Amino acid sequence: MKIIKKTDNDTLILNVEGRVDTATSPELETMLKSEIQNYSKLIFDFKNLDYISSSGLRILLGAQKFMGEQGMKVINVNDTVYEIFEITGFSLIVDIDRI
Amino acid sequence: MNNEYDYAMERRLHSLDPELHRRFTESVFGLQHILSNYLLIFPTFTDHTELHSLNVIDFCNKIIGSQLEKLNADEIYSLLMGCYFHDTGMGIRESDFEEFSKQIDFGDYFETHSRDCIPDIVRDFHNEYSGLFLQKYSALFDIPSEVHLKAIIQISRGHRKTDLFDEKEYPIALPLENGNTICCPYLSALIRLADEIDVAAGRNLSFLYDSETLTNEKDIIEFGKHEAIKEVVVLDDKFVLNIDTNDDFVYNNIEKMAVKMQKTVDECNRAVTGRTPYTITQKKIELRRI
Repeated sequence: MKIIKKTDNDTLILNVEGRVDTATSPELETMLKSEIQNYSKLIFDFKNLDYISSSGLRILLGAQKFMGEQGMKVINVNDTVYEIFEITGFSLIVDIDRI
Repeated sequence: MNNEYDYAMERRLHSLDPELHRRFTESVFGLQHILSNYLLIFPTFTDHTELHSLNVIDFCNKIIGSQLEKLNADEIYSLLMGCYFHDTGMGIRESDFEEFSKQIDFGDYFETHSRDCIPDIVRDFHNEYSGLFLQKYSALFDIPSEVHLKAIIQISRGHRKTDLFDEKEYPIALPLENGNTICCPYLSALIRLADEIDVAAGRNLSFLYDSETLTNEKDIIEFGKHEAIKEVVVLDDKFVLNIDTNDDFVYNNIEKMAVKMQKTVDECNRAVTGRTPYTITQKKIELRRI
């Protein structure tokens, strides 16, 4: 997994690449812990994300709880990752833009 | 890392019965706000929201493993719903607490506990409150039949304390109109085991939980254990807790917790092996210092 951080005024943009799973999700959690309190909006760009496991999905949903429902968006979601949101029921909860 | 069983139940339900899967996903949407209500009663408690439900489902997927092929769509739906409903009793409203308390058999509980400490009563009987919550509000969740409702209630209640050997409460083949049956003791044992394991895991996300606000000694001890347990790994034959601490007090508390977990593992194994055609291949809890 690789995380590339960008900012745009009060928005934090995280490009997450590769796989978010049990092994890599602690890094994402640590990144969020140190950053998200400084921003009012959070965007995850999943253009190059191959897979997200349950542990990664938890972090994403936790981030949405922190930011509030209007404060987080997930963009550039490919079919593989979107299927995970869909089968778990979270496509109804998270604001998602597909590729 | 092996992700063979990630989202296995959700995928199989979607494939076997898209209509039941739709009902499940719409329930997730409805439940996420309800599950957060536990914070009104237990502001410093470990997470009991949909984030915990996700972990419980993940552990169930791993414990079920290749036996998933033997479960029908109604069983998978009932277990998934149970995973989301099992802690709804932790966040009930005061009026529901009053109403539901009249229906619960507290046994001799109040000989040693005060009737005034509502959080203790809710915590100690939350599986029963979850069942009664589900009974009362089932219409909100588009549950397809009374039999499904009964199964989900029993699975939710069964995540702790209830007797999985009780054939009336936990039938091995609860019949549905479509000819399928629901194996209640197996599904209840799965959720009991998965919940127990997740209680051990440090399930509070660090950016959502401020440990510095803790003042209660019990909460501080619990937090210390969760901090030290870095990972719970489900192997074919055991559950391994990877622990990172040099604090003997914390480690001793984790050892005590592991004894309790082992009892749950043994109890679930006995119920499943003795009453159902399924097996739980994990027999042991192992602590590993890393």
